[in-house]
Amino acid sequence: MNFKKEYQEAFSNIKADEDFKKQLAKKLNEAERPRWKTSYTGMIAAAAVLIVVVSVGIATGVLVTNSSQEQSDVHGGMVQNDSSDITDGQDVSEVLPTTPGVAAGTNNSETYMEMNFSDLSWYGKAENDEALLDTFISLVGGETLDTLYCGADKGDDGAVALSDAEVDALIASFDGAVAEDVAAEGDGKYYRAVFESGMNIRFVVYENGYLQLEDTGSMYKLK
Amino acid sequence: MNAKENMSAEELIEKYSDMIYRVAFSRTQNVSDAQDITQDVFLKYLKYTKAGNTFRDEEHRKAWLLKVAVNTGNTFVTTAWFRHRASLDEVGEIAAENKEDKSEVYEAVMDIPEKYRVVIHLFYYEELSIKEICSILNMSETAVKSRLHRARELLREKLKGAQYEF
Repeated sequence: MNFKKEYQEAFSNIKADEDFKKQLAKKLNEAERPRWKTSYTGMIAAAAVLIVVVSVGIATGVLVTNSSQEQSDVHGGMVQNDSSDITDGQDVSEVLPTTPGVAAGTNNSETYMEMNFSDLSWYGKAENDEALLDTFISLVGGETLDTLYCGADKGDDGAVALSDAEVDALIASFDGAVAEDVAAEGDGKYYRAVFESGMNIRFVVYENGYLQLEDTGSMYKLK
Repeated sequence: MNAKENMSAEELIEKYSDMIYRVAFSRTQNVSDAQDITQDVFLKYLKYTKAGNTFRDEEHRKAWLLKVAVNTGNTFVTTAWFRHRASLDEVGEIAAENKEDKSEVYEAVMDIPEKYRVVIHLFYYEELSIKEICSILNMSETAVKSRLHRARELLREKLKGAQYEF
């Protein structure tokens, strides 16, 4: 008997419910619609603000000009109109800040194709479990670590920041750990390493002496 | 949706929801959880495409969805809620309910540890290569081969009454 054929037959019956699909389509369409409304409303609001600003600017300019004219009339000198420093005939869109990566026409697919997902993560360069552990230890034990939190659960509720000495002791316990292809079992302590760059690495140290890196699921038997 | 450069939400769901749902179900063994993961994956897709990202072809889009499905499943099965529920054996009970009229292969696969089920599913159902599985699971080729080998061993033990070719 062919396992693949049997497996495909068995799993071909597992499908998402039709009602669920309809609800999901509705949800996705709704999730998209408000954004259009918001941006449309935002455009109207921005246009209204622009009109008010321009009106005020024109009114102010007229007043300044009149005032300057009056002053020059009084003092017989010439007052320079500074309004050109503000707008200088520049289109408003030219001075609006741009958002990197969101620019019109930007296509990230090329970047994706070259970098792949793995290149975007801290573990992407490690080619095997041993190299992954080395990378992990060098990062968590390195100077770019900001804080290492520890808690009894995956969530951060009740997690406490470890002292430098505690971090050092923990890192030392990872030395010589050996990768094993086993499933996580039992209770453990949940750690979240926060780096200066904002990057997070989560890992678990189980009571039965295993370290698990959550990003990859890799398990290591501690010495 | 953006990838709706050429595909509507309905079309996208019709094309990929079963695939994502199966990956999710093979991990959680629970309809409700699998639906939650499936919905989450599509919302992430929406966010990703709204940000201006595109896919070079359908294979690229499929690989992206599978990877996000696996990652979302990873996050889900390690949540305190899921772990707590699993510890109460509810997953086992639900899985048992779903075993009705299922083949011995289905039962055997659902009976092996979750991390092996994912590799088995990607390899045998989605028919991905080892290299593609490496990319999706962020694992080395050696690790994927080792996991697949171990999964087959476990399945042979469970299916020892029948002679399956893997």
